[in-house]
Amino acid sequence: MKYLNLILALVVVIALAGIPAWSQQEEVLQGIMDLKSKAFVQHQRPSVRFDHYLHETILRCRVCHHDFNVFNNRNEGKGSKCSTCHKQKPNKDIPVPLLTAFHKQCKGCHENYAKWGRTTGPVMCGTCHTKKLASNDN
Amino acid sequence: MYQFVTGPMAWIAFGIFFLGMAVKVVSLFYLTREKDKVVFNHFSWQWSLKSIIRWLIPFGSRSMREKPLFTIITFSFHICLLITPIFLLSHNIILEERWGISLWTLPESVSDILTIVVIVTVVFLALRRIALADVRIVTSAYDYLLLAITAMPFITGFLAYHQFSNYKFWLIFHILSGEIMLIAIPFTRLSHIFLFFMTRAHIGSEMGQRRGAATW
Repeated sequence: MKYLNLILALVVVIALAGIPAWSQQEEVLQGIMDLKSKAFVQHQRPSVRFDHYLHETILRCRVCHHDFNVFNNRNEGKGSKCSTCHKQKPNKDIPVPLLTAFHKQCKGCHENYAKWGRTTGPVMCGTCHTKKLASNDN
Repeated sequence: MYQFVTGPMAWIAFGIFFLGMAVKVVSLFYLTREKDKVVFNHFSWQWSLKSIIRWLIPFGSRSMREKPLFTIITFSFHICLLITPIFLLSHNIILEERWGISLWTLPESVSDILTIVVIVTVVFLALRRIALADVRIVTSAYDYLLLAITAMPFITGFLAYHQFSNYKFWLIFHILSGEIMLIAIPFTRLSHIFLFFMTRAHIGSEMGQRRGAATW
């Protein structure tokens, strides 16, 4: 068995290579999600990896999962997705289109936090729409 | 840094661009009235517009027909240079976020190609200044600087879009180089963005109305 060592080495290498993939699955369980709304038929930019767990530890649910009533009070719309109400084309009831809703929700808040001089998340296009992440997904 | 270049710096750059151009156009107008008053006595809108339109159409003028390769390059350059930043998806998304207005946008793959066209044609325009003797003798470092100022936003934008190595660096460099271009426009020959229309109107009217000669 001249090649036994080689085969063993290969097995070890493949097992090691599997660890990152496995740990990524762990991340998914911890509340990291890829925002790939089906409402957009075709995504022009790589999808955004969003750490829901991180955000739920610092914000109240209704900050993002809002449901404005007729008096413009922010009620809780727990569990609802952006695309539940916001459509690609704006309408009279929901004047903010889906793309803008996503961008304002993430980037708008991050920009406000930066303005207030607090620790904040990414605001530059490619820091959320990362090409590397997208290629890992495939 | 990103906050600064997209905030106060952007206001400064656009302010200098629009104000600077307004001051330049108005002051040139007054200078003409002082030094070359006779232009206004014989001014003809018809000849002016004819000259402007002819020079806006590819192969519309005689010198363009004589140098077809240069015409194709310079028209591709100018058209892509104008269309790409105005109808770029990400620029319009920022516009929508900030002011709630946005224009029709190009698909990303199309704007990518248009950007490559700008970069390639700039290289051609630089090579032309080196290769052709009659252009070379009127060329100085300043001309290459202007080409570089114009090409930089496209090169850095291309690198940022494709996220080559340090994305944050390229994006900030992209925004800054765009602002440098805007600021440079009123103070350099890049002001032909607006002055093209004035010079063509002037020459078209002078030659056409007074001498009956077409300047195309």
